Amino acid sequence: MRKWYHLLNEEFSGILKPLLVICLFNTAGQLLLVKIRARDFEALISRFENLYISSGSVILFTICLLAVVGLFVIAFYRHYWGSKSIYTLMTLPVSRSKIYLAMFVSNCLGLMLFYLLNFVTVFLSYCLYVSELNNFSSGKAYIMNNGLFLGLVRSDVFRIIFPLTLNGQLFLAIAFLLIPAAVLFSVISERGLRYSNLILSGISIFLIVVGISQGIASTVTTLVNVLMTILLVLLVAISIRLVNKNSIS
Amino acid sequence: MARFIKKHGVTAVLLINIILLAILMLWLQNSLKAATFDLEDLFGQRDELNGICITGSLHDAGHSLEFTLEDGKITTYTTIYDSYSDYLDQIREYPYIWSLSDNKNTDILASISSRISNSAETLVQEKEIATGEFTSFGEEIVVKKTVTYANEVDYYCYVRLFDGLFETALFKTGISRKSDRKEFMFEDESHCVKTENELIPIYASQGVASAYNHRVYPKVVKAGGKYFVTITTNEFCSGSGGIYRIDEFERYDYERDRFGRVTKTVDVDLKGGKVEVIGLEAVSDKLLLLLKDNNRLVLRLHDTDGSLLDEIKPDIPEIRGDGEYGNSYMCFVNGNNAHIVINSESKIVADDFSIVSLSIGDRIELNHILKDFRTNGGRNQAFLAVESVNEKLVVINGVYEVGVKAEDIYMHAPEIQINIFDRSGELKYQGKILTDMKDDYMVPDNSYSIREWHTYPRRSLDILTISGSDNQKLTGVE
Repeated sequence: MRKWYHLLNEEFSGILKPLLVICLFNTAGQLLLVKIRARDFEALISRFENLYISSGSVILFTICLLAVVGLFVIAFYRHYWGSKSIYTLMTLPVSRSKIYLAMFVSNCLGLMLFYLLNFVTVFLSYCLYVSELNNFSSGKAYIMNNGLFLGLVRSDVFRIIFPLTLNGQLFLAIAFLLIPAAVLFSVISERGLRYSNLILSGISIFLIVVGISQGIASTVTTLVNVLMTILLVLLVAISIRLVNKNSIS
Repeated sequence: MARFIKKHGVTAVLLINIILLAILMLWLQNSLKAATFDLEDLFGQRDELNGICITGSLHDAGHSLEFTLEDGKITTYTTIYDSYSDYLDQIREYPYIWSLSDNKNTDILASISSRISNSAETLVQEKEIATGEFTSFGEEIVVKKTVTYANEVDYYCYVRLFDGLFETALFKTGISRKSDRKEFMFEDESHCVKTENELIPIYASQGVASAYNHRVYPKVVKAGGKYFVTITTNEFCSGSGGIYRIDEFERYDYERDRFGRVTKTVDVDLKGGKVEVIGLEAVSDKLLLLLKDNNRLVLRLHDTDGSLLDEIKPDIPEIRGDGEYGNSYMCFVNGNNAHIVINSESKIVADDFSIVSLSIGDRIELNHILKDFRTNGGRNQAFLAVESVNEKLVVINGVYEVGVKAEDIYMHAPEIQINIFDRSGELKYQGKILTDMKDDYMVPDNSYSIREWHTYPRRSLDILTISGSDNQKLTGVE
């Protein structure tokens, strides 16, 4: 366990700095976008969710999310560059499945940090929106009691990013486990020259997109949740098998 | 620091994640309770609410604040909808909302059409229009347009089950309208093949016209497992109306002018427009027919076979006007209780109303009569619920600000009031429910698209149940 913990820290330290840079960029960028959008009085007196979405913050969040996924890919391939640390990894006195799990847990933690800091960003954006409204004498009338909560439950974009229902949160939790699993599965399959495996990664993306398009609720999403869970278990199991088979070295 | 992060970075980030997650959960819990929902006393003692339990929902498409006001104490609970369909399911279950609709049964569609009466005087104008099209034999296809002007029309009622395209019925109502001039226009269009001597029709439309602007509307209710229809009439209608029972639906047949089996169980002589049918309500498998006889409200109770059980003429001010789209009153039906809210000009939104509260058994029992129920300052009001509990009449209404016109109420948040009257009609208590609804109307509202539905993110308040302290729920299901 101690060795695995050490390995996990080693893996995580590789992505932490760039991850924090992405998070910082995401936060600063969103606040800047909201600030710029708030210059338009008509946009400012519309509801927070309208202002936030029309500011381009959701697009920035999506770009940063893709950057985080890209970071996971780079973090994996970095083992093959320079000192080729993958060979060191493979010779460590821990089971290979633990090496995989260290990578997987490290990515999950990173994604979770990015997501939670994004919530902090939205909260800060809301504070900025309120302070901008307070700058106008008539602006106070447009501040809604419990406005952030209302925005989150009313806007379908926010309902996808920050679901507040059990079903939605379940979908998001599975999706946030499936994304790192699919990324690792894809790169491991590529290293093992098993390109046909990429179909499973494609199915993962498809299921996440279907789940989002269904508004994170409905019987379809329950089915999607079940399929995503099955796929998650499958991807992790196949990935461990491939790692054990020496596919990545 | 760098060394610490390298050694324990995971633990640190995990801790940060847990803290952020905890903050997020705390914020959510706090937000769920942050909405304003309180009761402010305007008149009388809150003790008057003892023994009364009101439940309801302040909701929009995304969430609902469910509340219970029992013995004057409020408890609230917020639920967040998974999807917009949850919201739709909830309002579908809500019994009162359909009271405003022409059609009280959501599973049936009904409409009125007019046809030229046999006894009508007519004027016919014909016109031939070239289409520029030809048959394969080279014969020209023309459109023959026939416009008939008539001075008398008969009204027909068409009903169809919402889920059964072929489950239809069409019947002649017996109600007609006669005019001094030939004002009713019917357009027939025939596509004909033009030969040397004649026009051979290949397709023709029937001489039927919508009666939408005639202010004649169907009202459908369900009692004893059967659908019953009445047609609301106006001062121009003659003949006889009443209650029609649909015994059998049939497949639609455009070649026949009647189909389905319909029995007229109650016949009402309209006396040349002096008597008007204004509505029909189903109350515990009995039918309450609402009429206006020389502008006085008449309530007739019939059983499903059409037998007259009772008739009363409540002592309320005269009623004039036709209402909007056939709705000249609101009726709140809860089990055996029926409460009719009516304005002297047949408006649904106005200042002064009369409320007639009834219990329906084998006869009509009059519980309360409120005359001239007005707001302070002549403001417009609309009604959310009326119920009789422990000899008290509970009236929940939405009162709009001074100057808000009836047609503009949907752009303004109402002040929700709870009024309690004793049996003599004296106001014992008036309270105001404080909510954040007004915020939704202050901020410009872009319609939200949730899948194929468009909704405005505004909260509205629905009263779901009003019951007594014995907890015998009067759910209001008709």
